Amino acid sequence: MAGHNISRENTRTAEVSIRLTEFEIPPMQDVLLVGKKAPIGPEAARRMVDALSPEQYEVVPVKEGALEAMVVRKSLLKLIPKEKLLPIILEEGQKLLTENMVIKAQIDIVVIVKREIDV
Amino acid sequence: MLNNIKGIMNRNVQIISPWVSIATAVEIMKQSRASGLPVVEEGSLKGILTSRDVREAHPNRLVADAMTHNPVAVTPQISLWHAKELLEEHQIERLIVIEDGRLVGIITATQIYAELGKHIDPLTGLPRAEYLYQKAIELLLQNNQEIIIIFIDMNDFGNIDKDFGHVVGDQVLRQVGDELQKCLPDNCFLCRYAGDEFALVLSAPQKDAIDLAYLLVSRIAQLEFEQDFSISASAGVAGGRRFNQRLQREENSTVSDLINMASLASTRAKREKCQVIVAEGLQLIEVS
Repeated sequence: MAGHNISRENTRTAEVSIRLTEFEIPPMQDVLLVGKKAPIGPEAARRMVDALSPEQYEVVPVKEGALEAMVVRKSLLKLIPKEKLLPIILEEGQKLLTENMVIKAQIDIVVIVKREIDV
Repeated sequence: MLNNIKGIMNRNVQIISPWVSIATAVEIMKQSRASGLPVVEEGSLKGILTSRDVREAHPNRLVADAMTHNPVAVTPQISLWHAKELLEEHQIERLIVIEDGRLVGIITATQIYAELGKHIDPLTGLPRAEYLYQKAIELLLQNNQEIIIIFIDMNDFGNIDKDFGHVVGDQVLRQVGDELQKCLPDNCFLCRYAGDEFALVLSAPQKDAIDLAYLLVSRIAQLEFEQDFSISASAGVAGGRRFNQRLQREENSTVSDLINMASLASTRAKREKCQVIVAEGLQLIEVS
């Protein structure tokens, strides 16, 4: 009896998924906290911010606990003096940071001014 | 004779840029068999990266973020002993050598200690005579201070060797060396000069040096030995009484003269059976 030759093709396919999003400039937001044994150190952070956002960030060396340095957007320091802002960031950041980490932080500052005038 | 690091330092130095990774630095260290790499950028020394720095850093880090800043740098003319003191003071394993603002070498603790070993008397553990010369010159050059040499000569030491044997004689010398070390004030440097002779240099008023000489001689006399014999020593003191301006660049001859004067004074003390003689009658008049 004549039979039908059934050919079954083995196929393999691949599904490629590409997720495109905008690369934020700068990618590090407002503050970077760099741990002492993090994969990058203050000099690498300085080079990165200088390359991506020249003259917009300041690197502040810190020798406290697990923290080695902070990279702070300069525009923040125009709203609040460095000596008032940095201790707050330091205190909160140290609660999360370990030596091996780099943490980025977004900081929103609202300055409320109330003044009295004679009417 | 000055013993400096020039002849033993490594001149073939592997350097590294601050902007490469620690992972790259590790490979360079392995290939060059160096455990310390001077970090140089555009000909300027920025720091040093040591194996300790590498161990403590993430391999992704830049050398700039792991290196030791402000490394201890010396010139090739630094003495072996001063180099050793710097290593111990800073608790480091190597020194960078700079000459005329240029990196010219690197020297490790191993090299320094190995070379210093040649200048240590194996019997007493004290430095040899060249150490005294070196320290005397350093004291002279420090603010042009006056220095005093105390030369201590054991009395009748040959009899101890003959009557009790050289092993006992060696033990006596060891005990004398130990005892002298216990009595040293700060900034006073002792050596075994030769045979049964010890010498020390210090910068102090002559009166203090004379008091020290008497103390040392009496402490030697108080030493006790199993074989129930006693020993004594005579001391000569020279220095601290300059009459004319010292000629510049004559430190070597000044030190040699003082040691010689102290040695002669100790011989006279031994002959006249005094404990201490001060070389006032043997003053050296300098001719300018």
